[in-house]
Amino acid sequence: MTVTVNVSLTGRARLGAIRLADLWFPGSAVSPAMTALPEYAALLDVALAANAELTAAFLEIAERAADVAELTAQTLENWPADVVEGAYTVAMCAYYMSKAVRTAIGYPGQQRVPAARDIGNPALIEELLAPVLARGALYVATPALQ
Amino acid sequence: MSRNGAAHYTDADRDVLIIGAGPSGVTSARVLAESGFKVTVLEQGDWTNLADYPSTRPDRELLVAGPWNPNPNIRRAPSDYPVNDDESDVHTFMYNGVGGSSILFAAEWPRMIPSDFRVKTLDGIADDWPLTYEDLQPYYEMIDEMIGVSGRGGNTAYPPGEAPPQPPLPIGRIGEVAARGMNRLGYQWWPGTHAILSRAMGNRGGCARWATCSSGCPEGAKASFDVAMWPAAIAAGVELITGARARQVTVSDKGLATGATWIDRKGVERHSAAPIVIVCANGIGTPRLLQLSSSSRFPDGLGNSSGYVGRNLMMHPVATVFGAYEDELESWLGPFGQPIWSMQFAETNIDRGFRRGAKWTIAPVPGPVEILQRLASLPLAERSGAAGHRLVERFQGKCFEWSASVEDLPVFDNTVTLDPERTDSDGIPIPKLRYTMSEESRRALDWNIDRLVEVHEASGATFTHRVDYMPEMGWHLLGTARCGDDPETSVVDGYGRSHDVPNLYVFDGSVFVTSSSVNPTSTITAFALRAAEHLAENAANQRTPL
Repeated sequence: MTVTVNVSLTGRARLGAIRLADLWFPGSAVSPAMTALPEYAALLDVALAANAELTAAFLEIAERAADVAELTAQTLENWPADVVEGAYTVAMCAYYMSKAVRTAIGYPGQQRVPAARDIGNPALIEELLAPVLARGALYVATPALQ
Repeated sequence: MSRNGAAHYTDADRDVLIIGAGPSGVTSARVLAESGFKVTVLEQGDWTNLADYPSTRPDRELLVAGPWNPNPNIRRAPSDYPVNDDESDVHTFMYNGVGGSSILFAAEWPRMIPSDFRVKTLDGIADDWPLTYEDLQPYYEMIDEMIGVSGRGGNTAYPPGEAPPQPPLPIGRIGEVAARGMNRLGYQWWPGTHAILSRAMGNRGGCARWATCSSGCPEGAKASFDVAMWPAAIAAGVELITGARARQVTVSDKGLATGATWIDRKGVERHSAAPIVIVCANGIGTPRLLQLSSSSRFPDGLGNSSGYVGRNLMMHPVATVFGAYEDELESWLGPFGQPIWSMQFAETNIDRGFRRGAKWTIAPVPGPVEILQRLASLPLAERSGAAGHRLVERFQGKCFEWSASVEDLPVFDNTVTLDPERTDSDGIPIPKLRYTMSEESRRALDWNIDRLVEVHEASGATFTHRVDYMPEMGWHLLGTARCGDDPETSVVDGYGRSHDVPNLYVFDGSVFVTSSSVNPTSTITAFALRAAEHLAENAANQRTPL
């Protein structure tokens, strides 16, 4: 069911993508800037290959971003909101695919953690359940079927 | 079109034709085959390969937003048909393939509570079911054993006897924090009951806590019915034909079902005959097919002398509150659905301003993309740039959400009809929904939102935020061919048999009289199990056209 979307960014769109990345993911004391990531282009390619509809939105907004003198949050407010949201989703997913970014924010990513090896703390659960059990049954008994 | 398994039946030797290979279809197929019936199942979709699931991929969220979206209007796979939801407050979710929508469900596995079957008697609204909790209880237990349900027995929301066969999944740190908040407020809660293995069974692995249940389980731990039921059905001799889209249930001049006409992927029309036809195409697909099966004898749709086919569509409205905490909660760990849950507010208390109630569940918010998606109602400037970084850095791993699934009461004018203009890829009219959420449901949502905020705060949340998933929440498609004892006000009886066509059955969520507040698949399959067993035991008295 997964369809790979073949996309090649034009020079204009590539410039606009960089502007969007700098606006949306400029980096912080904790998180690296999107365009500073060595794998920036590769992550964007993966994201652009995943979802044709969102990719179209991203390309439209990237090309518009390349054409303005200065790109700000206020600039985007005057563009079609659903298309901007689609473009933001692509950039956001690309950015947070980065292992460096995930490490910086303390996110290991979705991974195998077999439940059989991590049964939690059964004694703690029973302790937490004690007041629930003490209050007893909650359900409303019903009359028998006529 | 392709045939699966060794069985191959001809029109002359087939005993039962089932339309739909989802949970109710395969459950009834297996029971009937194990009872000696020759069963063929038609499925418009295909098998789904575990390796194709996006769940382990880095671009999962983008795939889930498109080709793996639960909304068929967004997914648009060859196996899908569009649903006209222009006049519906809620958009429908479903998956068309072997295993049906269980491929993408979160595998929360609650039973209905006894009062759910007696809403008219207890609350003076809607109608009672023609069966009771006690009638279904042995079948709930049977289905739990068949697919491998995990959980802790003794849930105080249920009569004695509720005891999942596998030990519960971990509730995680989010479960511990949520449970402490519930205890502070004196509310009932319980560790999750899941259609997910906590220990490996056969060739299915145990849960590996990916928390990506809703985009397909890469371990086979989740009991999607392709892996949890179909292998046994095929071993019992069920013939499965995939890529087969039913377009009409055919009838004899005596008004008995004779089989179904269907279209293969090449557009070729075929017919499969059988003396018994069971429709298991979900709460949208089933009324669509019955209406498509109109004839001079059944001008308003097959089995629709009551006028109830396609009426009373129910979907569960959901209220959700995101909460963030100071402590690390490892909120990327699964299971995704209901690490803990509560039925504290499932029963009616009219002082709240509405009737019936809600089921509460917690869910992890695994990664940064999910965090920002939960906050999507904020202006973009407040969740991107430096502000976006701050949100993610503050909340990552330290948040989860509480949701309330509200019982949706039946409304006669919430309907599934045939679209007079639009058709699917085979030229068949698509279903058109008219669904307006009732004022009572809206009051219930608002009341529950306030309580969910309170319980987050009782657990120590430092930030809460209402998440509005509307309209993308139509997982549970119920009520459109409801069961009952009175042929004037119901489509099928308590065993799923059509009042009008005595060899036509409906076993899916369409038969629900009321919706309960809980996830319906355990009840759908328990109903199918009971109905199939009854059909097998009474086959000697079955009227057939052959």
